[in-house]
Amino acid sequence: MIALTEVGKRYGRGPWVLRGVDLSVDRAELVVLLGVNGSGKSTLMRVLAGIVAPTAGAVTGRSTVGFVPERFPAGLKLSARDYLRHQAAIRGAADTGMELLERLGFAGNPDRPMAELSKGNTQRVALAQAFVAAPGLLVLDEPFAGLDEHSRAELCAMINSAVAEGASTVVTDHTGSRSRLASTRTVAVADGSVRPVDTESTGTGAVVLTCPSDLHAEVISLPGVLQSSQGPLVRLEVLGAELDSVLTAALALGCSVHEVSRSAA
Amino acid sequence: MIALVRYLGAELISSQRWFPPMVVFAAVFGMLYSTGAGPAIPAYGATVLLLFPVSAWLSAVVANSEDPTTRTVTITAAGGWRRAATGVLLLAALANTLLVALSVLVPILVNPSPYPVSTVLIGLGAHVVAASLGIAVGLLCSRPVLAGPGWTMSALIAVMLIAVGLGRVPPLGDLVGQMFVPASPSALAASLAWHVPLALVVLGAAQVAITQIGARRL
Repeated sequence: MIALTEVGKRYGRGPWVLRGVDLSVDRAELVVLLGVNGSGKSTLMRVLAGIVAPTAGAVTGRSTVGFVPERFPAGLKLSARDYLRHQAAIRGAADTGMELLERLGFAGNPDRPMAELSKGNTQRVALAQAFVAAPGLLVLDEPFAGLDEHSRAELCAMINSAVAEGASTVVTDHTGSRSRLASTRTVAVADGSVRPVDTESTGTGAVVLTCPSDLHAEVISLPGVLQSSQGPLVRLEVLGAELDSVLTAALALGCSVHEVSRSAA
Repeated sequence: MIALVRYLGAELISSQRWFPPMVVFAAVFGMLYSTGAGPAIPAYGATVLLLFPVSAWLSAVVANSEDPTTRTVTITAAGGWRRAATGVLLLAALANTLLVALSVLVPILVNPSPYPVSTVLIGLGAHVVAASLGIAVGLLCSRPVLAGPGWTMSALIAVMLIAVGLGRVPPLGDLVGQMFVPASPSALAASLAWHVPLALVVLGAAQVAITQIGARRL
């Protein structure tokens, strides 16, 4: 398990990115973190994984960590096979990770530099290194990004069995694949603090808006907005109970509705 | 820890970023000794002066080689930034061991007249001082202390200009000054008796600072 008590984080004299965060993830528990861009979600993931020390508060109970960063870089000159072999060796694992890679549907050449791999195949390497030594804590930042349907299903199965075997697991996800994960606890990160959210009873809704870019920040900070991604269109994931109020507020701000859907509770 | 150093080394070698500092070292070193560098100790003094910036550059390359995001993965695999930073330090030390060995041994091999053991030991001690200080400067001028390779290069150049401006002051300038005279072997030995520990203390302090700054900043 891992427990964060009153954790705060700021970089230098900058603003507090996290403040007063209490979060514990038990053995064999899966927590999904939801949060809009800039909510402090990625910093929280880094603190959980032990990459950066919190400025305030305490982290207890961390064991070995498997970490998948939000965007695994594409520039490595090492081959996937060598990279995984080295990472497994650093962790003291006997496995080479190649089976995991195949299971995730890796389709590139494992003996060519990783810089030549597609985004999806690079992501598969990032996932394989995180799972290779069966760590006690899995911190997976957007693990489904860049994967096809088949690989997403396989990854869900891998996460589920890691959790069943006792791993404390924290996942963020913009793709909706998390609905296929075993029983989860959902925690929302907003303005640097966390609170549990109940996505079970009322489900969630997806809202796609056309929005002037100066309104983006205001729209994603509406109460009930769990996650967002901004491109030409603003895609929001909204707590089911707040769907109507978010729509009303967005329309009042001057956005236009492109698409709305509601996922079953 | 061996696996970590091996990985960092493999990544460094595959990235080919070690090449520029090694070429500069080989070129200047070759020029110094191609025409016969004269008396042994002043010649060692010249390669000590060469080793300091090259060592700083090479150590900075070691520290900056891995991409920041890949580095976060390595930190989790190693079990924390302190262990990862130790791996970086060990790899930098390993690379510099090679440079020190070349600097001390090649002159012995190319020179027709034999070197007294005292001369070799003085040469070794002085190069260890330069390499230790170079590693300290190189690591302090790299990620995660500074933001990236652009800052690293500016900072390294600034440090070297300051070092030149300061002239014959400890922990390196005065030692090289003594070697150029050259002072007697016993005077140099006495000087090294405190220069070597001082340089190692500077390196240790730098590593402590890097570990603490990294834990806050990564």
